[in-house]
Amino acid sequence: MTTLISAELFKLRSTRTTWATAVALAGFAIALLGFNAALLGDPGQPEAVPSTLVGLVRTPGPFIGAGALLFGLLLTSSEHRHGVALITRLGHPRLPSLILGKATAAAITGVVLAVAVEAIMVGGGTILLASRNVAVEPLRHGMPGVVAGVVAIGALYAIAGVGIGELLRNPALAVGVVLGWMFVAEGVLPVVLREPDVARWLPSGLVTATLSAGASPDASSPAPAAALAVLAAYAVGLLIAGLGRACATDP
Amino acid sequence: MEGIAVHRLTKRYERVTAVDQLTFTLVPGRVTGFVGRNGAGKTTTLRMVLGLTRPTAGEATVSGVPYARLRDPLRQVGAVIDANCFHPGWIGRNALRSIARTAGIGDNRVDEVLGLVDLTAAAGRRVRGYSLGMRQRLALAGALLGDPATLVLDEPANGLDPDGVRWLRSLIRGLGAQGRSVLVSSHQLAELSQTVDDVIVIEQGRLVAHDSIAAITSGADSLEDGFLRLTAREAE
Repeated sequence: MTTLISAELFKLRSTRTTWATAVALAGFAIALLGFNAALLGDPGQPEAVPSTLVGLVRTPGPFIGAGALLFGLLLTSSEHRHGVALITRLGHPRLPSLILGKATAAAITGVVLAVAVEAIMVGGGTILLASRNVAVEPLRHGMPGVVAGVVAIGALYAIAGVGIGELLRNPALAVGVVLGWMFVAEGVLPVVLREPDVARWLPSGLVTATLSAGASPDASSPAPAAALAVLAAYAVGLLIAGLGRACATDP
Repeated sequence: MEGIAVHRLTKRYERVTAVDQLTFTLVPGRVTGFVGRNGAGKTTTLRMVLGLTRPTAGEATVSGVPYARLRDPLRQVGAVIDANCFHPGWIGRNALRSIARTAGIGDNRVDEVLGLVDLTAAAGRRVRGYSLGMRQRLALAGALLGDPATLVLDEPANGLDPDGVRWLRSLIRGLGAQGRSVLVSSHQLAELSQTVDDVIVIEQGRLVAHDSIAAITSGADSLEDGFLRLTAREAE
């Protein structure tokens, strides 16, 4: 299993899309810091206060999830698209452990991405607050919970990506379905079902709830730990569905 | 050491029987040609041997066990099934490194096999810029990474130029001379006749003949003649 995970990590490292995604997210984090540096304290804008740091750390969470999802998708659907899956199967013929190895490698990459972006946000945010003579309180305002939540979202979305990629086996289709889900289905479902609260239990709502530690409590939203548990169930469910498809299609 | 053994191997796709109770055993240290018309069941058989297609009935084993149960399969069997099995965005060396890491094979061996298939100079180029012949060589390099005792090659000469075909012939003969068991599927019978020790002929998924090249071509002008005679007799 260790050699398999090492091989899958190597594949991700050797793929330009991985680096492009990581650089784009790092750029987004830096731009976010610059934006805050320029606006904080301006007339009509929020003041820089100790809890500003947790807001900065929370903001990239959904984007890190999207990036990690892309890593997972690439690791599986792209292999099927380019015929690489054949070589991978020859090297590791046992499907369940193969897919588990891919999910582990994708999760590790998602965690690394989350830690890297959060390090930029914490470091940059600390410098920003210190430059405004605002107290830096990294262990208050729910900071540890938010950082842990972002890292967990990175891992879970990557695992979900492996499942979706194995289910759909076509990168363009997989990305299209994910975008359709995020921007259309999640908005339409609560309306169609006439249940606005459903949105809180869909992935985007769960990400918001997971990252809500330290924020004003919303009684109708799940607690961060519960939201994370449901997100984990989504990720594992998608991974099992992908494995089921693989076992049904391949020997 | 036992190489590839196929016993009553059968594959049916709804009403079509692609492979029909095929039985043969490869002798280690011999190069065996695997010939048949398009659709005769060659690739399906090879895929079943490699655990990529589930047989309807029968069994294919390598060293006595099904491929899926092999420990460290890349060190036991090397396979070329499709030259287009590398991500076009990867550089050639990284394509091989990704395979090597699955089996815990070091980068030194990657460089060694790149030299063996004469791709050292192109190893830093992206696979999308490779010709079909170069991709075929890269796939061969991938098959040789684990220094396996058994090789399964499906149409390995596809896309190779005359120099490449001569190089491949010498490579395969060399591998056989080292005591490896090599199964080569090909439509290029004139070329195959210069490479193999034994020949397996299949027609409509069934075994027609499995004998030495001398026996198959006995009384015929060439392997092609021998093949056509055998398969015509089968059709009757």
